[in-house]
Amino acid sequence: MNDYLWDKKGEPDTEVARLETLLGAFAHRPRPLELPAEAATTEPSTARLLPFVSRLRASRLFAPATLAAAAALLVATVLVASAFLRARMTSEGERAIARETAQPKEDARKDERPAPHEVVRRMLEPPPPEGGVTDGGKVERAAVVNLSNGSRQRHDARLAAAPVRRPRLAPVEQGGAGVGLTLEAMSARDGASALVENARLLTKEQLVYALRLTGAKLRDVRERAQATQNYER
Amino acid sequence: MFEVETSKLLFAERRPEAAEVQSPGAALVESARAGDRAAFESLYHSYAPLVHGVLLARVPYGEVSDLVQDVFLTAFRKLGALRDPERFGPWVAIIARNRAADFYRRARQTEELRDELAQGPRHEAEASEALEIIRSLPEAYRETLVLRLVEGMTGPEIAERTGLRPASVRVNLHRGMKLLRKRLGVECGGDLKERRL
Repeated sequence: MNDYLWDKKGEPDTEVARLETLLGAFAHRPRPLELPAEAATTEPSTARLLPFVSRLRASRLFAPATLAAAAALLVATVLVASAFLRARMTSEGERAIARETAQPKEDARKDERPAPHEVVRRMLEPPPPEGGVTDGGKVERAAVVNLSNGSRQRHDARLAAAPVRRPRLAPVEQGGAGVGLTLEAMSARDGASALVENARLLTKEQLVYALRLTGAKLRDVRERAQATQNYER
Repeated sequence: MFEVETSKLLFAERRPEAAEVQSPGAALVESARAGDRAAFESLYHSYAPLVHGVLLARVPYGEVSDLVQDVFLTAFRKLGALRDPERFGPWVAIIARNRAADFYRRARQTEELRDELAQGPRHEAEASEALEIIRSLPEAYRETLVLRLVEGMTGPEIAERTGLRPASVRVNLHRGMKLLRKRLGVECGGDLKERRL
């Protein structure tokens, strides 16, 4: 390796020496510096105000440390923010579930639908005797069909005068711990989400309709059988 | 073991004597910041060849002298913004590079200077040809070669003033010189030789 090119030591390289002589004509010629009178270090000097901070900022080790600290701070901020948002969403969800849990207790009594097992009971019970008047609304309507016009008018007037009766949801289990609680309320109390509860109710309704249909068909078949027997007699 | 090696690598770049003991240049910078004009003039005399070389590698020779004054005037005004007084050289070199770029942004043409140099004595024309060839080299080689061949600075001096690693300066010098020899050979064997004849 040619040391002369590096530090001008050793035997001079002819080509380098020639270029030095040739290009030396363009070298800097000292000239007095012309500083205007008003020129001064007008820019704010943080280095003068805070020498320690400026040294710290200028040090080579500080730059990666600053970057690492900034990155760590950013990551921590993102984590805290995500944790906060998650906690807030969870609490809101819990509040919504609690709201759903509280509502059915009040709404259960206002529900116009009959309790499921009440419907099933009505489906399974034998058909009422002809012309008989029972307590159930549906059976009552069936009985009214057979009444004479006068009787029907009287019956209508009585119905109109009577207070509106809302079917009360039947207790789930007689004498048990769940006395006075509906299935919906119990489920909600057990912590089932509102969504699951709605799906369950829909399924139950479908089951009830299916049972009603089946019951009606059974009744029809029974009536036909009775009519056939009467005819044979 | 690994930590020791890592710490060695981390501190390999650092110059402990420069960080712990304030260099004369840094002391001059501090004095200049305090309003000492004589200190700034000393800085000018120390670093003017560096600025001159950085500018000469980019702009026409006739413009360099005025631009050197501009660069040091800017440095004097912005001296408060310099974070590390030890790095006055690299900082003022950056100002010089920006000033050279600004010079071309203002669309000043160099044709006039080239004509003037070409009409001078034979050795001046040859020198201007060589300078043009150096200017046509990649930037990393161009600046280092100008500082070495024109301003007469040694490799270690270039490294110290520009803030580059000595190894990088050495590589730039040798690769740049190799490329320059090659191009000078082509030029002398081709157009330049014919022109001389």
